[in-house]
Amino acid sequence: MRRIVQTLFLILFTVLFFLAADPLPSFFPVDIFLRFDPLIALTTMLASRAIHAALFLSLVLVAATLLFGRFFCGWVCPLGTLIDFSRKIFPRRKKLPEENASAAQPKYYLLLALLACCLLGFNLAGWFDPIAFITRVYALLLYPFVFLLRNSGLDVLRPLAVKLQLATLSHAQFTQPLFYLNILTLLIFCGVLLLNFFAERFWCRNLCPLGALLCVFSRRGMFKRQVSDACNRCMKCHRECPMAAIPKEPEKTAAAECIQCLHCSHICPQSAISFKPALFSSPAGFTTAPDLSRRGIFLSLGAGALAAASLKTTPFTKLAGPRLIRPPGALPEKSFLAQCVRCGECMKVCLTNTLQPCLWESGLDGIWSPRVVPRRAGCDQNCSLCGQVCPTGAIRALPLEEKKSAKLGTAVIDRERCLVWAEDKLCLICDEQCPYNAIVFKWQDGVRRPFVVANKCNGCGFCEEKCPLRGESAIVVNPEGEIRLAEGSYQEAAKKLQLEFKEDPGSDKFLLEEKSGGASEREKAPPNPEAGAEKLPSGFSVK
Amino acid sequence: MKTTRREFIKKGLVLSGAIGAAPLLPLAAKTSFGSTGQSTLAMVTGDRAAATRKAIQMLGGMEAFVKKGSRVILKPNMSFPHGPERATNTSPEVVSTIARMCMDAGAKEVLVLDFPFNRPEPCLKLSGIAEMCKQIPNVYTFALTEEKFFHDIPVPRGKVITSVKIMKDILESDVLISIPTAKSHTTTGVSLGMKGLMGIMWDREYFHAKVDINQAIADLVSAVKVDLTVLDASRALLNGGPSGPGKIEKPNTIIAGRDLVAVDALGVTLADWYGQKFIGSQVKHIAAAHAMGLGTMDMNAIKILKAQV
Repeated sequence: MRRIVQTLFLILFTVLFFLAADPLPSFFPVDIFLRFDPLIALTTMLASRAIHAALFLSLVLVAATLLFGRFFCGWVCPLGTLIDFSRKIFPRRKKLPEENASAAQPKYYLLLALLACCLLGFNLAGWFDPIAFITRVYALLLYPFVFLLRNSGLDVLRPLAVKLQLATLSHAQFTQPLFYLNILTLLIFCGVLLLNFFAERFWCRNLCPLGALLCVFSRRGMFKRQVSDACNRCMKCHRECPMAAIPKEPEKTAAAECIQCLHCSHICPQSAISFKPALFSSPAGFTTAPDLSRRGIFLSLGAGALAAASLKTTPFTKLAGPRLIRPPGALPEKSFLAQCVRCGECMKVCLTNTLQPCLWESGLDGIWSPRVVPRRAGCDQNCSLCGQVCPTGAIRALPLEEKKSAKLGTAVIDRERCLVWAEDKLCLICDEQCPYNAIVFKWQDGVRRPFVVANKCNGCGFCEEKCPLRGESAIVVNPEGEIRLAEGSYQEAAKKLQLEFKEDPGSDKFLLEEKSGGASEREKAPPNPEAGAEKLPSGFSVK
Repeated sequence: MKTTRREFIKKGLVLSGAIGAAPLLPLAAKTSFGSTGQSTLAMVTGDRAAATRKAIQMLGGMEAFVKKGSRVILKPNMSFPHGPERATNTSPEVVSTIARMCMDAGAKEVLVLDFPFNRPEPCLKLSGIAEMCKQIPNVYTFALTEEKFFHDIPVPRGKVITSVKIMKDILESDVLISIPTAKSHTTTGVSLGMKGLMGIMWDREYFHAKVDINQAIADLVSAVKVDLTVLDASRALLNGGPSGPGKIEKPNTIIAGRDLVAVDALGVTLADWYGQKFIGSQVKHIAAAHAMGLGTMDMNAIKILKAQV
């Protein structure tokens, strides 16, 4: 029964994950699992010191936990399910040591440290939150693997499709998403699963901070484990409880740890265990409070504060990422980092695969937060999906018109490397790619050279992506000029800054008139007897 | 000058004879014919679909190009995620008219292919080409954006390139019809039939970055046999090309011919590019192809059949 429910929720989670694509389903928010997560809600609001209405959905889970205990971990959590299922595949220690739930409680300390860190403005919860973690694993690993599999399958079928003259099948192809940090994410994910080696659900019982938070509400749960007099103290339940929630006195239960999996009641040879509704009464021998030492509490709070203090005092965070481009609609950096839970949903949904997880580019605490990597791909001007799926509003959900004004940065041409500037070649690719008409050609030293019109450049990065140079592009988007608004209209902000992002200005960009003061003396075209001829593409020979 | 269909068929037969007699090069099947003899072009003004149909009929009908059971590749411009009003992609009506004519002539299958610059889905969708061609059975529109769909071929006559990677489908097909849209180009001046052929190759950046692009285009043309070029000059992007936006004029003209150098040479005279008049010899890649004997840009050697629909 529980396996079926777990499977169904895992399927639901997986389906919702894959539905986070263009076009987004209108009937259901695809990030619903993340919004149900009270740890994400709590840490986001603490760190950003703001109320986020969308996250109040997590109160549903809090209420359900108050009513039914920590059922989420045993029945719903996709990571818990994967940990459960993988136990059959991964190696595990034959003889498990005797354990007591009260012995190891690092998850509470981790939760406290995270909360302390959040109070001081740094939100690291996304690293450990199971829903954010598993979403990230799906985005950075499963999603590209699925495409790899689909394309490999198509490649295998292709010769047959060609032979059978199935044109559509023989040309079918999916653009492969690629992600940085996939190997690191894979290692961590495998590590979490391999922890099963030491104990069943090792992650859940010892490390999961969401589990720890739910423990706070789960103790008063309605369904409580009750042991009848038929118990002959065979200790089977004590040995087999996946959460080590049954102490050596098997009639007792660590209520906070119990995930209502009902395993003990199924395996009890005496059928002495039942989970009956017991609304407000605590059955006899029921242990409740997790056994936290005062010293441990202070230590963990101190550790969180220390982490925040060191993040605040390292230049790394401030100086890192001179080329850090955030997704369109990303909040101002500090709020953005406080609200981003590193779930990777934005990277999954990104149409062009330009959104990639940061390693060091946004400082120590920015690992896995999304950045635009223009060399990988540009940001599609007709897409604002990343903001639509962001569960915490770290990337604002912008209508397309607003998104087009959310300037990401400004492209800068490296004249030492640009083929036209450095080698007088006839390249025009950046101009051809620019959807905003922000690249113009002016005559200089007898060659038409590309210039970036800064107030037209949206920072989308298609120029950088397509620059034909090997290695680094000769036209590079810098965060200079980016517009990051916590609230209010990007269109108005752009207007105030006298920016114009038009896809179709209708002007003739080639015959750009040199406005007074626009170009320096050096940049002006040399005098030419054949007036006008100089302004033509070099593919014409008019002599 | 009005001419009857019978006369056209006659002319078509004569022309076919001329092609047959043309000296064939070692890579005969994959190489453009030389510019021996007169190049005949059909130039039709009027409604673009009807003009396309008429122009091809004037060259002897689609049957002169597409044999029964053959596999045909159509290469329009559909490289930009723009609607037809931007004049950066070939008109969907022209492409679908040709696709239909191919099927009517007995083609087994028609593939409409391009290698778009931008994300393929919006290019296929916004250009309107996929939508219009979908309605014809056995006509498929694909954007090929993966290297595995391309294959290296030698360019024995190339002056600046020795090989080029082009779409495998072209190598595996019987007929290649190029359907460029008429537009300006910041580098090559104009982008017509020959420049449009860059859409069949994998490494376009190489042309832009490493070699003289004008000669490279001619080299590419020397290695690929284009059976028919239909220039969609129903509207022309006079500047701001190839991506636009720019000034759009409506020459309302379709030019069709076997000799793509001739098509381009005539096409360039249809409009004032960047506010100026040009002839074929003033466009470097056209002149380069002419010099290599891939066709003729000499208007005296080109016979133009004109009509209006």
